[in-house]
Amino acid sequence: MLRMPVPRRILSFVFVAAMVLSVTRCEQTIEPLVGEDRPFTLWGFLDAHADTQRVRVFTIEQRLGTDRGGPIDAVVTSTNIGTGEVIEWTDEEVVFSDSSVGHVFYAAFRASYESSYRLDVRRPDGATASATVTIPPAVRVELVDAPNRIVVPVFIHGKPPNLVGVNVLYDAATLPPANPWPPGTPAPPGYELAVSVPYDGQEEPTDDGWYFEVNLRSDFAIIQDTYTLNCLSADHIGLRRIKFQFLAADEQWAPPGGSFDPNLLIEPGAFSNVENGYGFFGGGYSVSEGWLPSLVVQRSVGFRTDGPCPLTPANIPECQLPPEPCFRDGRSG
Amino acid sequence: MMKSRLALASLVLTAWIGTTHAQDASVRGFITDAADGEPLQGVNVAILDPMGALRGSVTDDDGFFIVVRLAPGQYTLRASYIGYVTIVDTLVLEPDDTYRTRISMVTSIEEGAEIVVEAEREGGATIAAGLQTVRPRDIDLVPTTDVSGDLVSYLATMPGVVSIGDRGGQVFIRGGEPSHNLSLLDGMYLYQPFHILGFYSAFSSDILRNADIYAGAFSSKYSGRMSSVIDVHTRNGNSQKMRRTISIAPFVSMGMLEGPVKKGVMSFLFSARASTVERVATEYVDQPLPYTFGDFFGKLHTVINESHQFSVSAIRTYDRGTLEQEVADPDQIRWNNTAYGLRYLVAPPALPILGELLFSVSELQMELGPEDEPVRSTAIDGFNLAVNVTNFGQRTQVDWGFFLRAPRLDAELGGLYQNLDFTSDRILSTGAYLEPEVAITQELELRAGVVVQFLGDQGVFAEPRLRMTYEQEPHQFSLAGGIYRQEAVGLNDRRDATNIFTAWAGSPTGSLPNSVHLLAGYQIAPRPWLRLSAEAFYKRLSSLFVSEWTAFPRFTTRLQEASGRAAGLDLRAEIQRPRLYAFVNYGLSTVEYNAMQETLPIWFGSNEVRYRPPHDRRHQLNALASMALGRFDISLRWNIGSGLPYSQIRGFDGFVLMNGPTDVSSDPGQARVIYDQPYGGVLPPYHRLDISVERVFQYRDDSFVTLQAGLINAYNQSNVFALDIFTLRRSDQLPLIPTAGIKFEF
Repeated sequence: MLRMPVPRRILSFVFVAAMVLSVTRCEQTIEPLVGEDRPFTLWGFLDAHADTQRVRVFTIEQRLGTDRGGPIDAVVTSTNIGTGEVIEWTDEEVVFSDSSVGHVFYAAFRASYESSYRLDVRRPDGATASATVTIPPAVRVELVDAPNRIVVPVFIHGKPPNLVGVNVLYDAATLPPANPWPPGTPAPPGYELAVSVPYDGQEEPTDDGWYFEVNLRSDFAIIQDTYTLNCLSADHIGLRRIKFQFLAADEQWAPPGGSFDPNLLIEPGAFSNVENGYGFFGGGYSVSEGWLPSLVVQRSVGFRTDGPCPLTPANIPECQLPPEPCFRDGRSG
Repeated sequence: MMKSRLALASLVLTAWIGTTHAQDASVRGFITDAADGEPLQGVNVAILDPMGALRGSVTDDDGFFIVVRLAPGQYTLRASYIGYVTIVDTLVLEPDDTYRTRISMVTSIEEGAEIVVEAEREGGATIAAGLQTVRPRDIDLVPTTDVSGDLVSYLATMPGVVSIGDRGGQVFIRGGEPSHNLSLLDGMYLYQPFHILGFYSAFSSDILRNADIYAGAFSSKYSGRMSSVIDVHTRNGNSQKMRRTISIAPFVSMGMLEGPVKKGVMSFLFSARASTVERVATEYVDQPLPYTFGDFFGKLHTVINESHQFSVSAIRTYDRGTLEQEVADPDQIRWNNTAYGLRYLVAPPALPILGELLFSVSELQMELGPEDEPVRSTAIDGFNLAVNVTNFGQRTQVDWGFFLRAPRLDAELGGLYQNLDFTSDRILSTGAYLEPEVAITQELELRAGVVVQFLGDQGVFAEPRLRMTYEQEPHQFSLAGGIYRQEAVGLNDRRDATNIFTAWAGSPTGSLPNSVHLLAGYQIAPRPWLRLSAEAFYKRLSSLFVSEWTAFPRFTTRLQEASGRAAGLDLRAEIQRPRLYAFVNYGLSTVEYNAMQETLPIWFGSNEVRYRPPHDRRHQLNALASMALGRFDISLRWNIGSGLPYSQIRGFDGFVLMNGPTDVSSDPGQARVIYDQPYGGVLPPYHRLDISVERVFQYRDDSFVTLQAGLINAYNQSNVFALDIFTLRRSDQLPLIPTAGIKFEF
């Protein structure tokens, strides 16, 4: 190491520098919150088939979490733009399943088809978040000879601007063997598992609406896969009923990119029609039309229409052997 | 095809340069310090003929020198090095003679006398085309929490080197990510060489011989990383006598043993360090310090004969701790480096060549979460086989070699990276390089090279490199550049400073991260005691992988591809007076990333966003002074840096997915963050003064006790380390810490 005397002025400089630094240093604060002028975030829709309308209102706060218990400085009103009728909504503190508390405002009225409404959520200082929606026209669903077809044509008459969440719901269940053989053999229990097959984006336009084709055979393969993934027998699936369902939605209910990807839609400003606020407030109503295919169609598609095992002993493996264990993701099913 | 051409070219060059002219003689040898047998780098070796004509050479870091194409006759060999007695020898060279020698140099002071002049120092301003060589005596000037120094403390004083904080072990060099740095210890890869507490790394100054730090534009010998190189060479161990070193300090304690197995021929060095911070320093620092780390290093070196040397090295490091101090149940991070390797050095008598064979196996294991059930884990292991050869000509030297690497990369990520649970890759990387160095004139030296890499399914890549220096006393100009590519990708989430988990994987998209470097430097020594240097750099970075922007209040770390650029200017001034050593350096730097993401048009109105990544420290100034006051050595280091960028927040609300007739009175929704522009905020500047005072007592001829006391963060500045933007909790870097230590060398 160095072995030499140090000039006095250098030491003086170091001493003075250290003193200046120690005197002038100060606690430096950080302001990570830059603030937000928009007062509220709204989520909900006007339902033409419901007698009570609801909207979830979030204040934009400086703390993380969905829990918004306590009073909320918000007045919610809806205005029928056609008639001028104004309705004030009522605040309700709702305790959700995760124990968080939120403010859901409700109003008892039924939105009319093809009518426009404006929802205003106003803060006492006058800052207002608002959304304007137009309820889509009424629709009629026509199933063409549905019980007797494997490929069922579906016509939607009346032209709602958007169809959201179009799906075919198969109310299905596993059918346990009627009489496992030999007696005492463990048999898989009956288990209900409804399977929804999405049909979003498969519509074709018609003169007065939309047209779909529901293919029971290709859907059955999806149902089998779903049962297998859930460690249920894919060979013993029985069908109770089929529902074709969707949400007839207003023009604004169209996500960017065409899909409801939460990683995309969570971005503030994405899929939002709220002025001076965040979130989405739409207009629409749920539509559902059901049927039960004939036994011939069910069997042809692959559904079981009775128990797989006869009452008398038979050389059918699934009636004689205990169910095979199901393993998925390294865990026993 | 390309490889065979390259091999052919190297053979031709070997034949051309390697073949001495008929009847020409050559002189070569190794020069070591007589006291401990360590190689001496930078010794001037002059060969003078009877007429006084001079041919010269300078020893490299193995202490090797060679002078070729000498006509038969009588010569005087003179080896000189500041602080050592000059060696003079008379040689009589016969035709075709190859004179081989081993020279031991003794210090020029009498035993027991006070050291008046230190050996020549490379110094803080001696940088040529991005390369700075650091030696233990440079490192030991930096005040730390330990009696011994550590390379990482010196790195932190270099302009262009940014560390996020005083913990975490993340070092960014001129815009590059830590995973873009190539860290070598005796040729062994170390994937995470920096310990969890920022004052320490696997490179203790006690075991170091020197370290070559390439901040960019590195030469063709190095490949596989795209930003910088830290090439560390360790000491061989004292080949003359047994030495023991023990140090005790509140943060780290160390023991080292070195000595001859066969005097002058075979030596060993073994070092072990273990942190004591969690047991000792915690007791008097008003802050939890839950860090456990340490390392073990061993080396065996043997001089087989005048032409052959062989060494075996091994290292193991371990780290564990948590950086999230304010969280009730913080995640612990753990990592271990294990590496072992051999080096065979040969200077064949028949050819003017110095060659080395390196073979090593390296492994890094890193885990995050509870020890018995980690949330994430990653591992990288593989071997590295390399052959490096230098052919020496009269005014030309050619470096060439080839390599084979096959790292295996495993990561279990819990679905948090690219929504993948598990990745496993084996990357085969083989190639060759050729880099001639030509002295075009007395002043101008040019090194132009190329690396050709075969990277498995990725294909074959050629990476040209260029380094040029023009030196006319007292000026030196340098220019360097090149293309660099990286086969393995380190994936991490830079949005959270406390999250240092880095998953190693192959490229998620198949495109390899790569960069283009360009730098230009100027150095001047206007006075013998003053050296000034300036170096401007530019790096263009492509195929980076950065965290996706999302309003989910968690670090999901879906990745998006990005490009970027780093540019800056380093200014250095160094004073070496008999009474004072000091340097001041200033780094101006700007780093910009350009990310593209599907959601960006919605957020920012454009499908790309340009932002300052969180390691973009625009201004950084380091001042270091070391002086003696009576029998005490005093070192001061002051560091100030402008604030690092971070993302500010407008507020928090909730998100409900409206993908159908959602019942808003039963769906609780998810918490959401409304971010402002990415990294639009800037944290407060960082500054700190560290002081150390040291006194060495000699109690026998060769036994010393060193007492050291110091203050880290001497004026107790509250420097922010991390800000949890979800809870708005701030955690600071280390407060004022008094330290004291004792070191025994006997």
